[in-house]
Amino acid sequence: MVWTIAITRIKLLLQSPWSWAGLILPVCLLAFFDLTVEKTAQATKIPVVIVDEDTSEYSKTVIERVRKNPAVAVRILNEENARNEIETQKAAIGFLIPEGFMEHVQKNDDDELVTMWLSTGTLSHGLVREIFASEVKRLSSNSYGANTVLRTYGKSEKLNAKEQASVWKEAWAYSDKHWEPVPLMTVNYKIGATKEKAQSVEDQSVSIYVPGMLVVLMLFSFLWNTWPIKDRDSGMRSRVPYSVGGFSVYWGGNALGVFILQLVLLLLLAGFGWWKGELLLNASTVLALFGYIMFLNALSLLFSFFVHSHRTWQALTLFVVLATSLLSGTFFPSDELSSILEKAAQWTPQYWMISALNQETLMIPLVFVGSSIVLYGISTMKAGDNA
Amino acid sequence: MITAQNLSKKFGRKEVLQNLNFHIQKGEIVGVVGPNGAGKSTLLKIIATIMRGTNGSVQIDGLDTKKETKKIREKIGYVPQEIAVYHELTARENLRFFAKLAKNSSEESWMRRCEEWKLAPHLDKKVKHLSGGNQRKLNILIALLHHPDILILDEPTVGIDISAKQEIVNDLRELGSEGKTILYSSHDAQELETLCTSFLILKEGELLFYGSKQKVRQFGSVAQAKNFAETLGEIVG
Repeated sequence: MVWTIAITRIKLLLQSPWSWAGLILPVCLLAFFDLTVEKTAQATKIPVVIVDEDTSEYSKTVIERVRKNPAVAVRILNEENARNEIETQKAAIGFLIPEGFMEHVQKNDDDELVTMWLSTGTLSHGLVREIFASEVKRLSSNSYGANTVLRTYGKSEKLNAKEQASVWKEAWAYSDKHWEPVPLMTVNYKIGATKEKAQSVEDQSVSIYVPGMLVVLMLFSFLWNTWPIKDRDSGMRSRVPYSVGGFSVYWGGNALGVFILQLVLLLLLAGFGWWKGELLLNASTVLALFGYIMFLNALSLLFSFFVHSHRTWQALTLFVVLATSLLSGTFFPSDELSSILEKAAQWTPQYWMISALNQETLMIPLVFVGSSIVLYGISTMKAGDNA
Repeated sequence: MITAQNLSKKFGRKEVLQNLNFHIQKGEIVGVVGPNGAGKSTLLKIIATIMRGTNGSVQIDGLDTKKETKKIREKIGYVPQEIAVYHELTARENLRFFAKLAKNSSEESWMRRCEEWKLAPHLDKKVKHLSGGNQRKLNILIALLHHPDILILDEPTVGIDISAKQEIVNDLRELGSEGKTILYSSHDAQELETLCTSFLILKEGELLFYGSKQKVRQFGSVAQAKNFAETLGEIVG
C-alpha cells in the first residue's frame, strides 16, 4: 500500500513537462555555472610561456609544478613564438630553460640559470617569478643537499659508484619531500568534500558545484513537499482515513515518493559532480548525502503541516533556502562570520553537511538519519490528529 | 444505527454543536439542513470520525466513534465538500488507486457502477477535464469503493448545473434503495425534498428538528407555508 501511494505521488509530481525539467534543469544549471566559473578562472590566470631547450627530467619537473599552480596558465613554445607572445603582450612573462639546465642545478650552479622575458603591459610577473624561482630553487636545494650528504658521508663509507648514486638519489628525494612551495599571495580556499581537500594545496580552485548541489537539493525538497497543503485544500486528507489503513501509511507513502525523486535528483547531481571531478564519492560521502536528503524531506514535510497556503509556502521555501545557504558557510567559510552568526550557522543542515563531507565522518550522517526519523514521527502524529 | 447522545463540540470558546440527541435508523436518507455556520459540516465530520466531539457520544451500530474508529470507518463512506481526487490523473487512474487502497474493491464492481452512473465513457479523461457533474459523481463513487453501509455527503452538488444535480440525486436514491443509510447536507431544498426521507435541522448548533418529511410540514409556525422548499426555508430562517 505504501508503494502504491509512493508511485502515485511520483506520477503526480512528474505530470507536467516542467516537473521533468525540475529534475534535469538543476544539473544543467549547475554544470553551466560550474563551467562559467571554470572559464572565468581560466581567463583570470596569468599567461606564461616557457621555452624548454633542456628537455631534461628537471626542466620537465619545473614546468609540471609551475603548471599545477592555479594562478598561472602555462604554454610551452619555441623561442621565436615565445618572444612573439611577450612582444604582443599575449603572455605576461616568458622563461627560457637553456640546454644544460639539469647539469647546472645538480652542480648547484644557480647563477643566471634561466632567462626571463617580461611583457611591458603587466604587473603580475613578480608573482610568477616567485613561483618559477621557488620551483628551480627546490631542485637546486635538493641537489645541494644530496651533494652535501655524499661529500660528508659517501667518502668515509667508501661507497662504490652505484651505491653513491643510490645515496644521492635517496638524499635528493628526502630533501624534496620537505618542500611544499606555496607561492606568495596564494589564498587557500576549501569547499566541501571536493577533491581539492584530498589532494595537495596546488590543486585547489574555487568550485561552485558542491554548495550549489546542497542548495538545489534543499530547494526541490521544499518544492516537492507541497503535497500536504494541496491534499488538505482538495479535501484528500479527510478522505484518506477511509481509503488507507492508517494515516501513517498515507503520510509515509507520500514522503517515500518525494524521497525517491530526491534520490534521483541526488544521483544525477552527484553523478555529474563525480564525473566532473568535483565530488569525491566514498562511503561516508554517499551516506552523508543520503542522510542530508532524508533530513530535508522530513523537515520540509513537518513545515508543510504548519503552513496553510501555497503563497506562504513559497515565501517560506525561499526564506529557508536562502537564509540557511547564506548562513551555513556553504558559499564562504563560516569562520569568517561574526561569532553570533557562526553559532547560528551551526543550526543549518548545510553547515553539518559541509562538515560531514570535510571530516568524512559517519557520526553526522547518522545524526541526520536519526533526526529525520524523529521529524517524520512528529509530522505523522500531528498531521494524523488534524486530518 | 446512528445514535448521538448529548453531543456538543466547542472550538475554543465557541460552541458549534450543543447537546444534540437523535437516532437515525438503517436505510434512512437524512437531509442535514441549516444555515451557514449551523454546524452541519462539523456534525457530519464527527459522525464520520474525522473530528471528535467535545462532550457526549456518537454510536454507530453500537460502536463508539471515539473508541472503535477503525471498525466504524469500514462502515462509512465520506464525501467531502471538495472534489477530493487527484485532478492530474484520469478518472480510471483515480478509481484504480483508491480501489487498491480499499482492498476489498474489485474493478468489476466499480466499473458496473460507473456504467450505471454514465461515467464509463469519461473514465480515461483527466479529472480536470471532466464536467463538474462528472467530477462530483467520481467524488461519490470513490467513497463507495469499500462498500460502506453508511454514506455521508457534505454538500456534494455544490457548483454544478441542474441536470447534473438531478442525475446525482437519482443515483443516490438508487443507493438508498439498496439499503444504504445516507446523510446528506445541502442548501438546495428541491433536491432535499426529492432525495431525503427524513430531516435533521440545525440552527446555531442546536437541533431544531429531527423527523420524517411529512412532519416537517407540521413543524411549528410554518405550517401554513405553500410548499416544502418554503417550509424548509422558513424553519431554517
